[in-house]
Amino acid sequence: MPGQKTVRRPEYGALLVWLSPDPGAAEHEFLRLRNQLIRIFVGRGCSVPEDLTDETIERVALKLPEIAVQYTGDPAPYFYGVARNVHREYLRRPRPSSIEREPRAPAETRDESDENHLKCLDRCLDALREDEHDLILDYYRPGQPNKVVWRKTIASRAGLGVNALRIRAFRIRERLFECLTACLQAATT
Amino acid sequence: MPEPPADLSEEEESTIRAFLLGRLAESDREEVEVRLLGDPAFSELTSAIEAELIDDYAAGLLSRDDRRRFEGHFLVTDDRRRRLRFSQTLALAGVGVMDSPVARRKAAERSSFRPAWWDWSMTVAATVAAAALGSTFWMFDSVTDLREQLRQAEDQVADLLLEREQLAERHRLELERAARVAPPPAARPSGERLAVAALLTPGTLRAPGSPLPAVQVDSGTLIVELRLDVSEAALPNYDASVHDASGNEICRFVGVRSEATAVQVLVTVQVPSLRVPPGDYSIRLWARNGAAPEEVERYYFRVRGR
Repeated sequence: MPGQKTVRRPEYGALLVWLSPDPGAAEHEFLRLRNQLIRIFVGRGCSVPEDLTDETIERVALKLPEIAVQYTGDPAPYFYGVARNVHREYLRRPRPSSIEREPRAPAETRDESDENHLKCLDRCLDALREDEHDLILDYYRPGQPNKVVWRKTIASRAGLGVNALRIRAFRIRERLFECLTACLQAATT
Repeated sequence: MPEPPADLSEEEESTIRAFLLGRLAESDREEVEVRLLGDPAFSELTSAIEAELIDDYAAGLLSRDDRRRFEGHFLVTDDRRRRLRFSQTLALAGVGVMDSPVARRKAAERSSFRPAWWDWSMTVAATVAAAALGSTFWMFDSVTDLREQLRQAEDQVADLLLEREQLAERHRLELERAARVAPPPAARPSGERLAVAALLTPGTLRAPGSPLPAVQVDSGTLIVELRLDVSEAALPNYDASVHDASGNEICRFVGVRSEATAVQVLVTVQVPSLRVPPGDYSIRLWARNGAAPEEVERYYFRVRGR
């Protein structure tokens, strides 16, 4: 109809394919880029980093039909360029005063008792393989006055570099975090 | 899964932490941002360092300035607040956070005992450290430099106090363990000790007339604790055997684990004092390589008694 603007919808399916032809790898890369964009916006002091990240991704997805043919190489720099533009526009927007700004609700309610968290954590620790359980307890063992020296010792014991050990411990920790989150959600439903 | 960078220098790690806390200059910050998006291994490593930063905050180990930045700049998303709660849960469970003032206070609250001296001594020590640096502060032009120095001093004070408390706790546990080895005598004159400890370094020469590390074992001492320095080439665990001057084996310890301190890696063996009357002794450390243990180090000491 005359005067009516055509609303374009972002092609998220095409965006995933652009990131990787393998669906699993594409989803992994999408989530990674999203998390890093949030981290970047937080690092720049933005009060709504998730919103700005979603805006960035939406703009890339909208632009994709035009650029996918000409753009070659890693998509990450393109995301970064769009993110910088989004950030500049964000800085130019009028911001609510501190009185008008909506208070941020806490992530969790205080109904979640320590006991619930500990029970879930116990359950999640039990679900780990024995070597993973031992590693995470060793890596974060209390009572070590110098954790740098201690972690070098256990890295050497495991035949790993310090960074490799750190990543391995972190991946186990991430699984514990996801397990705990799921357990707590199940407990409240 | 991406491979982690082989080595991260202290400077690189410090840059990542500064980025997370919003302390980087714009050009440095953009360098990190580009790398975060373009390098999956680097972004995962940053996530691991972020988790450790959250642990440090939960344990009360951040400087005052970093705490302010953590609360005002870092902790702004729901996901990060959930992760902080997770870190606090790990601390409550005794996992995931190094022994720290915060975790120990929580444990003390649960057991209805709170060492009040802890808070005061930390305040006094920080004040003393700040006063010691105060006389040199006026020599510097930049306010930023002064704040950075104070932050480092506060960090060092916190580290030293933490180490002192942990050593005190370890000593208390070791004395308890020693007491379990042999029951204490019904009445003990004041001044007698349950255990005596000595630190031995490897390769001390046993030549006629040369001084050996001496351990004074008084009557009433039940345990001789020998701490063997294995820092040069530490293994996860050893067997250890104690021999008299003639080479006869007195006792043997199997599967003793090495433990790291601030400056050394040590293997600790506790020998009942009755087994080592005054005289010269050696301790042999054996590595467990396959079926047959292999001697890797030898230490010498002398027991003196009253």
